[in-house]
Amino acid sequence: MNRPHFRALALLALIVVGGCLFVMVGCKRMPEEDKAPSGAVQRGGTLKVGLLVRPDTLDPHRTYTLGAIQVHNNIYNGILKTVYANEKLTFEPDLAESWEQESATVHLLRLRKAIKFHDGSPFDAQALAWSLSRVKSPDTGSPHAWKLTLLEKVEIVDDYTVQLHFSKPYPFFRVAMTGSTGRAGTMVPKSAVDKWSDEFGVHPVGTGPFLFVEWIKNNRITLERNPQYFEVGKDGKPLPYLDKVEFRLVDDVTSAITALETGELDGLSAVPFHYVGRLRRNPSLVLHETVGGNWTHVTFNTTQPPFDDVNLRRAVAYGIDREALIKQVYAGCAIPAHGPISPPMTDFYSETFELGKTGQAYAPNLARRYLAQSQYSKGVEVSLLARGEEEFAQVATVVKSQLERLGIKVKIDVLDVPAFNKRFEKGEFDMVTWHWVADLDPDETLYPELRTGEKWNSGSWSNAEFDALVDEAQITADPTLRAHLYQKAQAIIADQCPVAVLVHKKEYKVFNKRVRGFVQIPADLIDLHRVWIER
Amino acid sequence: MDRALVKAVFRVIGFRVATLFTLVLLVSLGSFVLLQALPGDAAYVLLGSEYSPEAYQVLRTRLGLNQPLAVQFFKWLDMVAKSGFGVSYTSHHRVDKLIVDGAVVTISLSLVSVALTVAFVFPLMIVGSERQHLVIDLGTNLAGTTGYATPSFLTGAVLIILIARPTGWFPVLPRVDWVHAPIDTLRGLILPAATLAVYYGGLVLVTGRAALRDAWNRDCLEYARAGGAGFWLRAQYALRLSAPSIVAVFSLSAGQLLSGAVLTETVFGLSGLGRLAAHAVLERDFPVVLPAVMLSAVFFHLTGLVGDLTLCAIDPRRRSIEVEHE
Repeated sequence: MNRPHFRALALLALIVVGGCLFVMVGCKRMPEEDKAPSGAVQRGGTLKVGLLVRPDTLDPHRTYTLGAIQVHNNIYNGILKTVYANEKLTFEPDLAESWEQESATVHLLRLRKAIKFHDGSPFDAQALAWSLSRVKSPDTGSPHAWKLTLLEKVEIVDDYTVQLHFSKPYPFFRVAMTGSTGRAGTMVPKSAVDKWSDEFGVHPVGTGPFLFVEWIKNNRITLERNPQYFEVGKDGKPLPYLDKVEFRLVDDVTSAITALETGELDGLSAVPFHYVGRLRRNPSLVLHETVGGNWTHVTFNTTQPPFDDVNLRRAVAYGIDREALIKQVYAGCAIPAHGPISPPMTDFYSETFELGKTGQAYAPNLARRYLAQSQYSKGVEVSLLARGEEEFAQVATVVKSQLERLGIKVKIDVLDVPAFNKRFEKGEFDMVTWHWVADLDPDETLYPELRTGEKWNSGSWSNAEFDALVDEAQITADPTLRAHLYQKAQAIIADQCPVAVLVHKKEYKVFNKRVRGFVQIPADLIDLHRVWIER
Repeated sequence: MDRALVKAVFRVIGFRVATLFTLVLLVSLGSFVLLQALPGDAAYVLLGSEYSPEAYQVLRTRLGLNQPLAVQFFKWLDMVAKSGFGVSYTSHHRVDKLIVDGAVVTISLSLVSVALTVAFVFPLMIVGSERQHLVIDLGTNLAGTTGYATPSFLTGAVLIILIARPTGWFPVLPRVDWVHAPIDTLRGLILPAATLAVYYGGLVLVTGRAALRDAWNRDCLEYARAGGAGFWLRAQYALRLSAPSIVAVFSLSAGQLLSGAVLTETVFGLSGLGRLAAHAVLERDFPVVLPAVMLSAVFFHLTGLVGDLTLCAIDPRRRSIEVEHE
């Protein structure tokens, strides 16, 4: 039998495979050597960060997603910036050189001089006034316009001095004017917006440490160093230290973590809770951890049975075991919440409130007592809505199993974003798992979701005493008095239970230990201004 | 080249071209309608956590989503005819660039997958089907079925864990840049292409083997073997006899490959047509969904065309109709 062809076939296959291997091995990366950290800043290099959120646009005035800020804050500056040092969160001047309050309603800003936008146009008082007006203008359709409703007039005193006149005292000003979660205060140039109009979101121009290079959708966003940046580094030369930044847009978390561990990525924008332990144990990585400005909760629809009954709401609020929830859903990466105000709000977060009996907490006997006092002591069936993203569905599942012990049957609906939004808007639910993130001030935590008639008050709760407290706190300049008002407001929440407050999540950032100079700010930021790579 | 072949070729091409326009129009209309059936629209998605009824109305009007469906569709057709595919509702990227970028990745991935399939699966298929041998039969069927039955995200993850991580030869998140780094691009595409080759190759292996088994069993080939004809000569004829099934499954697989492989692209972080279309659907971003789906239809049409032409060339019986009509 003639079989030389098999040998030919085998030889051919061997050559093909061998050829491939040769190419691959020839291009193999050499392993990195471990060096002891030296301390002096090194300039240059490209930082590759895995971004696990999908930015909707790079136009800060039009962005709806919080994750986008992680990129924005490297392209733009705000009038103020968020600073976290010595366990205190403060708001410091950024593009402003100084910020004074001349009266309860008038803020004086002296601007830094000689700052240019990336396209060469100057940043001055006119530019600031224009940027603020863009946010306010209905034509822009900015979701952040509400932060400037109280702004009456922008008075240009001279090229680098501006007075902002508000109709009422506005302590939230300090958050609204930051380039990070504020976005109303992020400075955007008229020249670029005129040039690109709606497409400015894919051609961003700011004053920040990095210039925009490209945004390949679903793939990456590339930035490069701005040689004209106004802040100066430890070596006396302008920041930033890095040459290039590549935000790699990744959907699959497992691949992202693997890429981090092989060194293909230098960092990740977030770490899913169940991976935290593994990354913490990895000696070549540095894990940054802090409790974020957020709160996760279950909102009750208070307009209809059964949750129009306050005792049923109390039963649920005091019947949920937060510690078990933290273990099962968050892998221990969260702390129990007793009220909406979270630790980063360092002026307002009260340890005593959290530990004392004035906040919501797990108290099964109390829960059963409230249930007996309600109209549903024999049991009830309720619906629980959850958005099919992040950990909402898991929280819903654990809450369901816990409430069943009380005799409350729960039917869970997990929906994708548009379908969820429809039902959420119409209030078509008994309970909904929800969270509020990147909160740096109680005004943005308590007011939009819990005040009567506010657009985020999805449970339509109405309490006149609570309204009066948050209304007054919103325009109170004195921080001590403000804190006192908010404490009273939280006490009402603990008593009337319009929501069942669950946890404050921890935020994680992880970097290869070669990456130095990263400081974690509990507003989920990835500020790369002072980051450098050790080689 | 005989006239019958030439006529057959023209008939095939003519049919495909004539139906292309109608097909593309129907597909875009169909997907537009289906997209509307999903609850929520691009405005809902964009607003996300900043949703409020007033903001929704403002955004909806700005995007033109408050107009009747027929108007929206015809305005889109009008825009396509005059100025191209416009921009994405959600991010304002130019749609033609998105499609081209996605197509480059997907076509590259598909070509490497096809190459791997042909290199590894075809020889296995041909050689493994000639003799009836229990171990080979069972082994190849098992391999093929397992490859096809395993979801591609699992195969991809396994390849990453077993090959990419320990060796470091292949990136976990490859970068496609043929202009500046062709070797790195090729190297980066090997694992995702292998993932797809395991999947589609499995299907081709099982189907092809079955078809080839029948072909090898034909009397004419038995006589040829008895007469001393060599393996490769007989293999050529076996392939020709089993061509219809093999070409059919191959061209369908190629069509699916070119439409985009969402799961594999997600695992390896590739921004191909699959992920582009999937994300666009989730975001109800119909300026992106419609061209992506249209392109899929065109690719299927093209791979079908190539399949038809191949069969014309391989199988003389396909030309006989023309001969009779003369």
